[in-house]
Amino acid sequence: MRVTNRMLVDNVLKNINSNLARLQKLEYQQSSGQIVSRPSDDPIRVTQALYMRSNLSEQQQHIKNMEDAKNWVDVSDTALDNASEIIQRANEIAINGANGTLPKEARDALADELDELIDHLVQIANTSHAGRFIFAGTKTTAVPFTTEKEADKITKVIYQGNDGVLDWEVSPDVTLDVNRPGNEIFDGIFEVLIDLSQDLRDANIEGINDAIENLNTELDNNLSHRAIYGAKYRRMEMAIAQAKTSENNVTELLSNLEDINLAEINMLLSMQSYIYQASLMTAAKVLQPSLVDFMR
Amino acid sequence: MSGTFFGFNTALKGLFAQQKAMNTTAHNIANAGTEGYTRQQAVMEATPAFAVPSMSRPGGSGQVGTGVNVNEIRRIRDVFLDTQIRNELAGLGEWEQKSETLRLAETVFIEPSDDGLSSIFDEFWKGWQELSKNAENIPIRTSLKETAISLADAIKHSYNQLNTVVTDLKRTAEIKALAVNTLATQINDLNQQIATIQLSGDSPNDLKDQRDNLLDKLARLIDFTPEDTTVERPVGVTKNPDGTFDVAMGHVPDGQIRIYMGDPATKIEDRKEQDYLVYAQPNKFQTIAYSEADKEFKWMEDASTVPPTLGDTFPVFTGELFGLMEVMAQIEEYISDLNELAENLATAVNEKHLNGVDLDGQQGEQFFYFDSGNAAGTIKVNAEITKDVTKIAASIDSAGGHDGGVALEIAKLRPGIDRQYDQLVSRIGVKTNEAIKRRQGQEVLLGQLESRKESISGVSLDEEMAFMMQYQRAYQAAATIITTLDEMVQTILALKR
Repeated sequence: MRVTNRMLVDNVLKNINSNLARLQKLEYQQSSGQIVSRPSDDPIRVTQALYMRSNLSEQQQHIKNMEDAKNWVDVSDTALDNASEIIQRANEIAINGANGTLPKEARDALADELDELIDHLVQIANTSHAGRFIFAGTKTTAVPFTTEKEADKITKVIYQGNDGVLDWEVSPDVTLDVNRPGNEIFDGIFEVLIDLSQDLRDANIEGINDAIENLNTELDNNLSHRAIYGAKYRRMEMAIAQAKTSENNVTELLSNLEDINLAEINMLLSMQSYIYQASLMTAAKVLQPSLVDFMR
Repeated sequence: MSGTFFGFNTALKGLFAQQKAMNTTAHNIANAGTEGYTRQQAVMEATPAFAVPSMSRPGGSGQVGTGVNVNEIRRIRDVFLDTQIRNELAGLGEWEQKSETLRLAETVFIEPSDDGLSSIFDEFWKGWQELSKNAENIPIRTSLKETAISLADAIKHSYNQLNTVVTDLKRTAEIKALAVNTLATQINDLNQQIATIQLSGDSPNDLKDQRDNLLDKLARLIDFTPEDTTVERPVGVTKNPDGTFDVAMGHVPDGQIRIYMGDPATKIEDRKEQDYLVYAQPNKFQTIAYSEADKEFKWMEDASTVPPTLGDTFPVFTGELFGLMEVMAQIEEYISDLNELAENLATAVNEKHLNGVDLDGQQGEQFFYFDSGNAAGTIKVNAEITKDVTKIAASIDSAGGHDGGVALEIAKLRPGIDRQYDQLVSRIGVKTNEAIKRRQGQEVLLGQLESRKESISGVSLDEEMAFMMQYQRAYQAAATIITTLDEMVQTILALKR
C-alpha cells in the first residue's frame, strides 16, 4: 500500500485525539469520583443506580419515621409510668382511708392529697411531645383533658380528643399506630379518683372499698397499655437495627454501581497518560523526516 | 533521412515535457496539504516516429523517434471509492446529528446526580412523609410547599429546555436546507465551467477536485445518486467515394454530473427531470426548504413568495437532514414522556389531596394545576396553597383530627412515579448511547475508506521528491543533448574554414 505523508499526519492526529479522549474520560471519573455521570455513559447502570437511590432514600425515611415513633412511644411510656405511680399512691390513700377509726381531719387530709394527685394526673394526661398532645387521639393541637372545678377542686375531667390513631409508615406499606386514645387510658382513673375524693370526705367506707377494687382494675388497664407501648418500642428497636443493616447493604451496592475504585482508576489513569505521552513522542519522530532531509 | 536540426526538436520536446512534469510535481507539492486535493500526474507519450515506411522512403535503417509529448495531466482517483465514501458520509452525517442533539437533550436529565430532577422528587416525597407524621406542623407544611414549587419549576424547566432543543433543530433544519441549495448552485456552476473546458479537450482537474469536495459536503447532508452526463458530438469522419464526407455522431462525456434524488433503481432513461437536484444544464437546478408544518423537507416551487411555495416531499433516507427529522421526533417523544410523567404525578396527587381536609377542616382543593396534554409545561402548585400552607389537606378526619392519612397516601405514590422517571432516563440513556456508538462506528469505517483514498490520491512528498530528481536529471540530459548537437553543428560549420 502506498503511504503518503498526510496519512501519517491523519493517523497520528486521530490516535493522539482518541488517547486524549480516553485520558479525559478517566480524569473526569477520577475528579468526580463517579463511574457514570450521564445516562448514556451506561444506561443500565444508571437506571439501577436511580432505583437504588430512591430505594435508599425511602429506607432512610422509614428509619427516621421509626426513630420518631420510638421517641413518641418512649414519652408515652414515661407518662404512663408516672400515671401508674399515682394510681399506686391513690391505692395507699384509699387503704388508709378505709380504716373506719380514722378521724375526719385525717381523711380530709388524705382527700386533699388525692386532689393534688388528680391535678398531677391531668397534667400527665395532657403531656405533649414536640408541641403535640400525645393522648389526644389525632386532635393533637387541642388540650385533650379539660376540668370542671368546684371550690378549686376538680369535680369532672372531660376528654376533648378523639379516638383517632396516628399511623406512621415504618416500612413499605407497613404502618405503626404510635398513639392510644387518651380516654381509653385515663377516663376510668379520673372517675375513680374523683369519686374516691368525695367518698373520703363523706367517710363512705363502702365507696372507699369499691374504689380500692376499681383502682386495681385501673392499674391493670394502665399496665396493659404500657405493655402495648413497650411492645411497640421493642419492635421499633429491632426494626431500626434491621433497616440499618439493609441501608448499609444498599449503600454499598449503590457505591459499587456509582463510585470509582480509586486504586483502579489511578492505575488506568497513569497507564493512559503514559500511552498519551508515547503517542506524542511517536508523532514527533514520525512526522519529521522525509526524503528532503536526505537530499543534498 | 532526418535533417541536421532534427535532434534539436526532439531534445526540445524532452525539455518541455520534463518541465511540464516538473510543474505538475510542483503543483502536487504545493497542494500537499490542500483538502480534497487529488494528486496529478503528467502522462508522457512518445510522439510518432519518423518516418512512415513507404516505397519512396529514403534509404537507411529504422525509424527515428521524434521525442515526447505530455498527453494529459491526469487525476489519480478511484471513483468507486468516492461512491463508498459518500455513502458512509451520509451515515456519519445522520448519526453525528443525532448523537450531538441527543447528548444535548440528555443534559436536561443529568443522572445519577445530587441535583438532578430525581433528587427534587426525593425531597418532595420526603416532605409528604414528614407531613404524614406531623400533619398540623406549619414549618413542615411550608417546607413541603417550597419543595413542591421547586419540583413544578424543575419539571417546567426541563420541558422548556427540551423545547429549546426542538426550536434550535427547526432553525438548524432551515440552515441545512439552505446549505443544500448553496451546494447545488455551486455544483451547477462548476458543472458549466468543467463542461466548457472539457469539451475544448482539456481536463479541468482542479475544478473537478473542487466539485468532488462539494459532492462530499452534499453527501453529509443528503443521500443522492450522481449521474454523468454526455453530449452528442462528432466522433469520426469518413470520406465517401463521391467526395462527400459522413460525420459520425456519438455521446461523449462532457464532465458534468447530475444529482438525482429519486429511486436509484430507476433506469436513467426513465428518470424524471423534476427528481433532479442538479440537472447539469445552465440554471437547471432546484432548491429545497424545511416545512415546519409537515416536519419534513420539501422541494421549493417558488422561492419568490414569502414563505416560499413548497411542493412535494424532498426524499431523504440518511444524512444530516434525515438525522435532523428523526432526532426531532425523538425529542418530541421525550417531551410527551415528560408530559405524561407530570400529568400522572399531578393527577395522582390531586386525587388524594381532593379527598383530604386541610387544617381548617375544609375539603382539600387541587394541589397541582396543569393543562391537560401539556402538563410538564404548565404544572404549578395551587396558588391558594402557595399563599396559605394550612390549605394543604393532609388528613382524612374532618372533625379536627391531624391523622396525616392523606399525606401518607400521597407519599405512597412514590414508587410508581419514581419508576416512570427512571424509565424515561433509561430510554434517554439508551438512545443517546446508541447514537454515540453508531457515530463512532461510522467514524471508524469512514476513517478506513479515507485512508484508502488518501493512499491512492494523496500526495507523497517522498515520491514527489523522487520524481523531482528524475525530471531534473532528464531535463539536464535533454539540455546536454542540445549542447552536444550544437557542438556537432559547429563542427560542420567549421569545415568551411
